[in-house]
Amino acid sequence: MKIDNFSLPHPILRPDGNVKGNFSTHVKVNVKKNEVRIVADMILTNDVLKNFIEEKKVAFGLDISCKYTIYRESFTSFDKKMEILIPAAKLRDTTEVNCFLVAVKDIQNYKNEYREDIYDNRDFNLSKGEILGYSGRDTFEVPKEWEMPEVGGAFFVLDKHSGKEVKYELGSDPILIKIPKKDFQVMHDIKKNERMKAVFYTLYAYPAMLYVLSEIFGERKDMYEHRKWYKRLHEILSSSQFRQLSQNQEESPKIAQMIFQYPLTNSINDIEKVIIGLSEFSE
Amino acid sequence: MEQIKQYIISSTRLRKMKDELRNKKGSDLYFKKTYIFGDADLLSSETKTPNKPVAPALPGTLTKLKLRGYADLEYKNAKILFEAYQNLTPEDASDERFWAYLTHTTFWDYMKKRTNLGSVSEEKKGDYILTHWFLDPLSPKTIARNDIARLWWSAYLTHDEKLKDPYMLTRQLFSMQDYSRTLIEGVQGRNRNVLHGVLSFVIDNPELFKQRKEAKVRFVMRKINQIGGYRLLSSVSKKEVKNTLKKLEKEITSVK
Repeated sequence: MKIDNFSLPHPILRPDGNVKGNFSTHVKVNVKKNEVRIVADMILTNDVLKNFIEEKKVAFGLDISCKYTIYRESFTSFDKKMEILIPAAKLRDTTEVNCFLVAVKDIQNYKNEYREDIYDNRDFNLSKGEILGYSGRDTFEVPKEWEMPEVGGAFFVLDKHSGKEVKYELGSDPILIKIPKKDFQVMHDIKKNERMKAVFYTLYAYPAMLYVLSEIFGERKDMYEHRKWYKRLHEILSSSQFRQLSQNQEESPKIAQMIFQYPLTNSINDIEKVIIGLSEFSE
Repeated sequence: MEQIKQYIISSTRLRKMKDELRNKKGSDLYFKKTYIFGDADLLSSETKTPNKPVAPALPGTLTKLKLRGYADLEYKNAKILFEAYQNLTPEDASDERFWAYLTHTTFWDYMKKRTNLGSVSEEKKGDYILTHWFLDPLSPKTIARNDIARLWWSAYLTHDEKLKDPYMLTRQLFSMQDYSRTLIEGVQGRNRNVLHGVLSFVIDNPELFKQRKEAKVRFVMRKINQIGGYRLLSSVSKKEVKNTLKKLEKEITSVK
């Protein structure tokens, strides 16, 4: 859910907002086969809103949404620790949690303490449901034990086709690398040979990853967010090794080489060994 | 309850079918009497099965000119499908393998007549089939465009046992294509109270929506999206959603 900044009729308590104080939420999720348990601990430092919570006019709210099962439900509580149970059958894959402070009754003449004095002489009439605070958005996964595709967990799977070029199908899960029929057997022989593993990665996996990165760093990222390969790649890019890098198209070659542990350098080394081996043999 | 085995298409086979269509191949198979699957292509599903074979009405008199008849037919088919698969969970109903199985086997004849693939250009056939027979990638948008999944999901999201006619809101949903695009595909419409509130409001105010209904419903949806940007509509009741819309009556009346 996105808060529409232009539509907000009054300031709300949020990290970059005009209301003084703080509102933060720590969310812990436990996904089991039949249920999903969400525990949220809220921290609020704003006396006006704390008083409204005690008067039961404002509540803490969690909004849970899953687009893959067309699900959305809100839960409210006056307790700063909330525990929610949702049947796992209602959710699938990426699920979003948004944390709010929300009016549970109409409130007249609402005012708070503001960072800017332009609101000092203003008060607001609020309707039930209006957002008064927002501490942020989190996502979690509710994975299902779907039937796994052929190459468990790998980014790519290889197939042959009758054309002349190598093609990449990102709409597949895993990503399909389609190799010309006449090259397919040779590719298999290279892949099987431990001494030529880096060569295989340079010829097929590295260019494929360059293409993948250019797509997910570009405008068409939304098309792939549902894919398992996307989520796996997202996890890798969120790890400490990659987090420091600028994640954009310019850095794609560097990132792709890091993911496959520098295949270009390694394949040069492999080829050199083969050449040395062939020279020694011919002597 | 007699348990009939429910099948789904395997991931591997599904991927191959879609790859072919993306490469503009395989659309000729959609003119055959049946779609041929190998033994390894179909898997037994964990989903509970319907207790009788689903037999939706085939669109025998369906033409583009009969818009009213078309709406009724979709609603009736949705009711039949939902009742046949009343034990389907949202998690299972989000499984593309299940819906692709139904579009390629149980409802094969229905799909061919319903979609009129022959009138689509050769260049666009692959994409057209991917849109109507599959859910690729899975999203509310692709669910709304798959011709079988849409029926079940529309009934599931709007069915209300507390109403005298539990499918009253379903019928309203099918009365206009805009509902699918704005409600089912939108973030606000994922919440039952919002979805039911909007549909009930339109039903309860027939005079208000008698003229220029499409424009007015679009206006209502824009306002719901706007209000949803600062008000947690998923935290209020269906009645409160309707009351919110009631306050907009004057604006709705003046929509051109």
